[in-house]
Amino acid sequence: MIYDDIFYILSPIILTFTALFVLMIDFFTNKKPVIFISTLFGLGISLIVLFIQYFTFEKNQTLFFETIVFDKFYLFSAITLILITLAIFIAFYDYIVNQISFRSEFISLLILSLVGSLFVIMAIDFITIYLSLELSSLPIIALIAFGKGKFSLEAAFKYLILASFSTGIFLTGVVYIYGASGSINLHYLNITEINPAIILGMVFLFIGLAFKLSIAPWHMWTPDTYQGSPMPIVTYLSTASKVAGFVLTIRIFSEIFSNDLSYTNLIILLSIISFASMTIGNLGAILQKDLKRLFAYSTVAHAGYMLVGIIALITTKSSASTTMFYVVGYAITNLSVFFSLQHMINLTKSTSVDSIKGLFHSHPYVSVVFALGILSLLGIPATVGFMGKVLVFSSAVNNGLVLLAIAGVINSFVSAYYYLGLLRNVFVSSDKFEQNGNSNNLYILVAFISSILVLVLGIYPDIILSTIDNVIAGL
Amino acid sequence: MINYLVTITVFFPAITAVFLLFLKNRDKIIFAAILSSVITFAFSLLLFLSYDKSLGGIQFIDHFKWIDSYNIKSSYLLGIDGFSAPLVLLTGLLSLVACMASWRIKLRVKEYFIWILLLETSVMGVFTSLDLLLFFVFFEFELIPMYMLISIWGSGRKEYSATKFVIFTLAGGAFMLIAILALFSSEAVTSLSMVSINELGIVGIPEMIAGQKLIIPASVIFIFFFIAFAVKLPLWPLHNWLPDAHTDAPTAVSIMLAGVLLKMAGYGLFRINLGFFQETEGFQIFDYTNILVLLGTISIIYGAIVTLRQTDLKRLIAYSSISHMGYVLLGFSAMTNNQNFSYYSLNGSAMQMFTHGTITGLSFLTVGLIYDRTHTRDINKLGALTRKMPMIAVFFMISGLASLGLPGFSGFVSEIMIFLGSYKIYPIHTIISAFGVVLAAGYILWMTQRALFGENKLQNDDKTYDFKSLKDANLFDLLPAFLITIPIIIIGVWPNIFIDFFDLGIKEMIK
Repeated sequence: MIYDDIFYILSPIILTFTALFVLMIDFFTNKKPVIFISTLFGLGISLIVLFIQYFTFEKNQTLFFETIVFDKFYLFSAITLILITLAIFIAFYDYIVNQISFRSEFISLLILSLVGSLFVIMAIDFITIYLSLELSSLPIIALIAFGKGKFSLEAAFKYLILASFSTGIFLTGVVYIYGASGSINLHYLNITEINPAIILGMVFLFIGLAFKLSIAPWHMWTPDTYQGSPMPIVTYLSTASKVAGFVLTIRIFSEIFSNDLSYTNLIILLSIISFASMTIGNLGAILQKDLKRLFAYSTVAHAGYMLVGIIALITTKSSASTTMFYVVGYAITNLSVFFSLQHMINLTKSTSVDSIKGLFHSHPYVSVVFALGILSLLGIPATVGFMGKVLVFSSAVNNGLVLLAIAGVINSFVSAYYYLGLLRNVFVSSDKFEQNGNSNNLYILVAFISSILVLVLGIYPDIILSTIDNVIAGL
Repeated sequence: MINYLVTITVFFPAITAVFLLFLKNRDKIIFAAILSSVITFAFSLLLFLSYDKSLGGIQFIDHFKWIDSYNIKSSYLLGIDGFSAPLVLLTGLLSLVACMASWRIKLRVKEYFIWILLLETSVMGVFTSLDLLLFFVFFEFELIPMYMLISIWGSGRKEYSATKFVIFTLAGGAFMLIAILALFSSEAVTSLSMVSINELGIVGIPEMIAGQKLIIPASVIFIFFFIAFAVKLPLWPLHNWLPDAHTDAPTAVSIMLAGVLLKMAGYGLFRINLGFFQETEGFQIFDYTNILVLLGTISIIYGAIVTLRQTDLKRLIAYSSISHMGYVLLGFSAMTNNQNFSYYSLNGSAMQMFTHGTITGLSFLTVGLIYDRTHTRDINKLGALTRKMPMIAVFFMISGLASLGLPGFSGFVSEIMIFLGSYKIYPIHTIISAFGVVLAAGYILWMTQRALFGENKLQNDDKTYDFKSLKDANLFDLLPAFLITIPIIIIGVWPNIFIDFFDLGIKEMIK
């Protein structure tokens, strides 16, 4: 019976073997393409497996003694995660080959973290959730330390300490939930009344997750880590990690709150946290002079917007699709932003906000791609960011959280100040652009593909919105 | 009849903008942009002329499924009714004028015309979209072209003004978004269509929310929509962005901004604030008209008084716009209940939008021509311009006289209609507002006297421009001015061609 279950986790298994293979092949050959092609091959095969599983999907199954679940939500999120990682590998080919000393270790660790994320999104047992969260974040700590800058070690240590701290808090929450409901399996939680233990457990659980999702006031590590990490890891943290974290949050919340009890106080508390996250993120970003730090704060603000849909999920389950759409849209947008950002950093050898002044005159393509990403983050119509915002705020208003929605839209025009500042530097400034280095056009190519997706999903969101509605309904 | 004529009209400029990307030669780019706006104007004229007034209602409907999810349902719904047909024509005309007026542009020509054409698409989209979310998409999309146009090709504190413009409008848009979401979240509302279309089985929001309870009080939703449009109109005390944006924008952008962008707000007031809130539970638009009419009056008088003190030609016209858009609100809000209102004032208010669009367009066009030659807009440095550039002065005078409401020009028609209608309902406000016309005569005549006639006030040591070598406009400069003068005179003599349309549209909005 357990051998039948293995078929369902074929794609994480393939990825694990890919990671080990990449690690081993380094002993025998030092040819860059071999390592790369085997990586892409492994990712591609697991992607194909997932697609086949998605299109032949029959019914939800719980596997391995009911510790993980195999459903459409897992398949959809897994496909998203692997596509994101694939895009990161292709775009950062040049970076990994030329700027990372131990490239097969780097690739292998990143894929192992991806395997962890794949288990995160299918786990329904708190022990499995804990283990897979560790598997996804431990490699990241090593990967952060791969950076060459003086901040790298500091960033890695910060992430290490805060990640372990947050897991501790998460486990405390699990303890309370177990005490109150009598189970550590999400499917068997038996919550009949609201008692302090449940609320306390939920709050601890949420704080543990909030560290991973960089929701304020647990965001302190984000700017430092972003500044110190190599760009592929920053991109991975702000896209794939976000997707995995929010999928897990949706899974936990939709199971715990599937009863008809009313959690008014918890909703108010989470609304305040969401508002704080948006505000701290946006106000923090206004003050930044470093591009990576600026986008770190912007991530904090966006985590606040994503939380809006999660709060609405407490009362209506279908609201989760809004957050899911926002997260996927945000991931696509951030891919295009970070790829073009790396291209710019290669050109200028600097991460200062002022270094990109006048970029448009000498490098129009990367500027346009970058601008599309920025407009999507700002939430201008015809981009996926706009649709995401409309959706999460609509789910908020639907559930009576009008004030939260107002706070959200006010925040999104506060963010106009610094996003427009970036656009002004790139397009309007008449300063001469100082080019200090060269870059690879692969960044622009992959960023261009994601910005096409940004536009297409912004103009006709139904393409994936109906799919997301469908997978959320199957939870 | 051509299928999808409205969709073609809306998106033709955007498609040309993409096509412009592949052109290299400056002359070709300008030619293609002007040709595109001529064709779009032809389409809008075709729409205007082939709208069947005997049938009325929404015509030329394009309808597709767009977003269909649990949390929001919206469709791609474009169409024209009596109220939007003239505004589409106005957009076509002013975009053509804006493109033609930019033929001297030298800096980053390709991008400039791409942004202008995208701007045209978004404004056209606002006037034709009948789905609330689609309306909002077009309403917000216009920000990016405007930001780029003002901050790159503007003058003075251009980046400051552009950012101010965007932040003001985004703040207004934020309120509108909340209002839209609140409407959709109400149980009574199942789709976001702004009008009912019987032949397609579409029920509009006005019918759905009639007598129903909404998720937040209808008065709050009304105020949210109103704030969004008041920022754009612009209404005192939210007008702060307009003088800066106008002063620092290039000529063509000023024409678009004053000519059509402000009208999006007026259009929204009629379509949404008047259209939706006549039969809502617990609150109707009539409860708040006393406040609206007061705001309108303050705008008229405040705008006119501030205009008197201006010495920058563009700033002067910008402030006069605030005063003139105040008339739109005065005419719009002159009603106290379902019976006690006047079609005169409502029609006059709609007409004021159209006439102000053409008149201010002409004003900014001629000021742009003057600025091109003298490199200053400071009234204290101009003077005696009629001697050197008589044709420009003639058109400037036409715009000025039309703006102060001289009979025979279009401004007179709309203002007299507004006063006639609103006097019955709010006599005191109307009497106070009528002084706005006196003030308008004051600032227009005083300004023309100082700038166009008298003696040249340029000091001998001032090298801003050389009065002796000033040249009049050539034929190509004057062509757009001619084009835009035609409707000013036609409406002044024969206003019915447009009033018929507006009357038809407004009668369908009033229950």
